[in-house]
Amino acid sequence: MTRPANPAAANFLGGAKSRLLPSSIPFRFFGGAVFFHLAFWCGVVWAAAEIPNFVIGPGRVLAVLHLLTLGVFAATAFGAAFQLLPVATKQPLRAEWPARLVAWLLFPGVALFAAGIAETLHVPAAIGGILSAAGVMLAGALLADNLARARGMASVVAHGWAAVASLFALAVLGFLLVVDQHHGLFASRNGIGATHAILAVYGFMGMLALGFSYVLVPMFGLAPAPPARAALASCALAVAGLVLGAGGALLGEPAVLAAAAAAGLGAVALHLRLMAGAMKARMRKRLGPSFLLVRIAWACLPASLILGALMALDLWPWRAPALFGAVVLLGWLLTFVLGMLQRIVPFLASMHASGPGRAPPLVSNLTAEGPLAIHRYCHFAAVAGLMAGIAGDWPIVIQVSGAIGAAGAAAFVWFFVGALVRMRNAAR
Amino acid sequence: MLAILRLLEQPDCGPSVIVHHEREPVFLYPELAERGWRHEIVDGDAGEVRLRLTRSA
Repeated sequence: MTRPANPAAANFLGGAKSRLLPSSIPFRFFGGAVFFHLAFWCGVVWAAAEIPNFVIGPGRVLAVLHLLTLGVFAATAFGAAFQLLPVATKQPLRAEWPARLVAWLLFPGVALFAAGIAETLHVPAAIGGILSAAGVMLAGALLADNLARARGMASVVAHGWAAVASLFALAVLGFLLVVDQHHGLFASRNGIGATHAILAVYGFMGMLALGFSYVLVPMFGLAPAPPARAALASCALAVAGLVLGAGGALLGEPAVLAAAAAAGLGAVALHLRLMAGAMKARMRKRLGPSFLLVRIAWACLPASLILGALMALDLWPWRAPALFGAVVLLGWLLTFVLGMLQRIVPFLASMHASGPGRAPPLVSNLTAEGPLAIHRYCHFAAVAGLMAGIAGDWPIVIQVSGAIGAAGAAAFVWFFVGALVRMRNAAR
Repeated sequence: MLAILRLLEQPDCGPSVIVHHEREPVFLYPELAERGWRHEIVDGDAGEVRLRLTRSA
């Protein structure tokens, strides 16, 4: 066989058998994420009246937010990381049971925690917080152990370390915030809460999203991996932005927060340039509608940083926290996660359905386009409607948007369950 | 994987290709199936995975 044109990309895409986990591990996390996605939009309907003027603090909106961040984002991140990181690092997980335990801790923990903080019930919130934090910390330890043994893809590994460090820090801060709610540890919770949010969104999820993009975008587009040196430079800028952001939020220094946003913008500009290069060089010309979501998410990422800087400098005081949250959480992260999930799920299902003497089912046959189209239209309508509802302080618009989002999330459940059923049928 | 797929898309590519790989390239299989190619693992040297790719009839 000819020598691969790009060894890094070919190595990632090529070798995986000993590191391919049983399908039940990634799919249990993706299944949980799909369920909590539906719960999130139902929660938007339920908390609609409180959303436009939300500032960090316990109540329904914070509960709904954690259905999204822990239930959807963290679950998807863990499922993808447990499956993809061992392939990137060329090191298998030491054992499979801790990954399963993460799900057992995380999902009940998120449900209990959300219920507790929604109704200001300290005991359920504390138990749920402890369970969630234990799941998150265990996942972080598994990822750190794998990263420490890494033998490949330096850019993915560097982003992974930044994500894991953020994960530990945000888990500790989150736990302290839960304790503070009952025992009053801090004179002001705002700085701690903002730091926790920055580390969660841009630190843990953001660094994983950027890092795995160097794997997923070339894999789905059939393109060479972007140059590692440029990806590492983007990572270094992003880490600088994270450190400045966390420090600026803790100290309440607007200028430091603006500097953090500037560093973040530099990192994102470089990252998007690398992504554009991979897209231009791709072999697969038709990427499908999933990449429409990815492209919109990419546009929302720098927009969120600009809005964040304006908010920090008090140049955009008008419902700033809620609108900023909608852009960063829904416009960027949720849109990105759902765009990638609709490619990852059938791709993994096809791999897991293949076996000796049995050709894998076609990815296209495992992808139910109808439900995905329903989801896509509902998602865009719901996110746009939610932003309009926040901007105008119209709870009824937010409620209708939440209902549309829930309909889209139900269609996504349909797609997910359909892929699993077809995978099992094909594997028989 | 990209090199293999590029080779298979060449107009002068024959109906059968032998691939020598460091590990079993499981991520390649869905792409082969989409392009109408089948794969089977055949005996190879130590430390390699050898695949025979065959264009489906």
